[in-house]
Amino acid sequence: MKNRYALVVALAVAVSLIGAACSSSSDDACGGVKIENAWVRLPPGPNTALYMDITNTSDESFALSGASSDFATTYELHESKMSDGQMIMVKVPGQEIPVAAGATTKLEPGGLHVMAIDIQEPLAVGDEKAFTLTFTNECSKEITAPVEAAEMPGSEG
Amino acid sequence: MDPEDRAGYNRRPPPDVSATEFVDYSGDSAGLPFAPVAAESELLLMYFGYLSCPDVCPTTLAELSNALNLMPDADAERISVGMVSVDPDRDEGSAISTYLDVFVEKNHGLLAPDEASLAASAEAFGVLYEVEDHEPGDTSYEVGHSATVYVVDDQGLIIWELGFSADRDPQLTADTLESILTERYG
Repeated sequence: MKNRYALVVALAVAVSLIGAACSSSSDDACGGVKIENAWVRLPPGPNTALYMDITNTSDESFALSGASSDFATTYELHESKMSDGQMIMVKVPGQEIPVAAGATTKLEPGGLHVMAIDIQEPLAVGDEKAFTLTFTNECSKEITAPVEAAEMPGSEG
Repeated sequence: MDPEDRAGYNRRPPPDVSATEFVDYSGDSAGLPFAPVAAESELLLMYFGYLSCPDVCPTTLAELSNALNLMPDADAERISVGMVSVDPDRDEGSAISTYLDVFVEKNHGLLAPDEASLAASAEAFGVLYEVEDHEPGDTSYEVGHSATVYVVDDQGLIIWELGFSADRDPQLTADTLESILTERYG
């Protein structure tokens, strides 16, 4: 067993090396993409929101261009904002949320967020949900985010 | 708390919303007419929103929920929350009540009896809302709405308002509500 495990590890290392050698691979493209403080709002209705901080540690700007996971049918990039005294939710132009080189873009309540539409399964506080985030720099990043009930992560405790 | 330190603001004279009409879909009151007037010596927090709203509405209701949890039980029990859906094509009354149950125990899930009545009530409160044109059965249209919480007293007067904030300290909201209870009812 041990040897077989070693072989698997060796193969995995080899594959990752091949991947790293290829400049268009998603692993390489994700080098400058850092995701922190991701959380999913406990949905009281048919839709919910995913929040996170996206940091660009590279010297090229990129944009978040989409998200997917298996618990909702559709994902859109939205922004809540005030317009003539009304709080409105609009689709982000071009469905891209830019992150400048060396900067952090915050997706947070009352502002930018990933909207998960038509939730297919009940979520509970503490669930960890897996998402795939896609970026304009060809990075495709897998993340997990906890389901939280409070309006800000950690504020309930 | 000194009233000057409260979150929010008020209008003078306080708007009277006691004549506006809704239908309540919560608990024992389900199906009954509802006038936005708090029970004696209590406060009613009124909010206009819609259930497909994934960000602003739950942020506001979570803030109220957290604030009520921070208050002494005897005071928190004197506060109820009413939410009016401005999106009756998608939101059934019972679903509004279920939605509110996630946040607050003492709640009223509300719809206006008809479109004209909703417009009149919104005007009485000072609420702006806009529902994007859509075909019957279409579920992917946009809705805009004022995201203010109206604090209504037992005479049906709006005596205080909390504007939308994504990150207001729930303790500040709790202290504000306590201060209003004390000032209004002693």
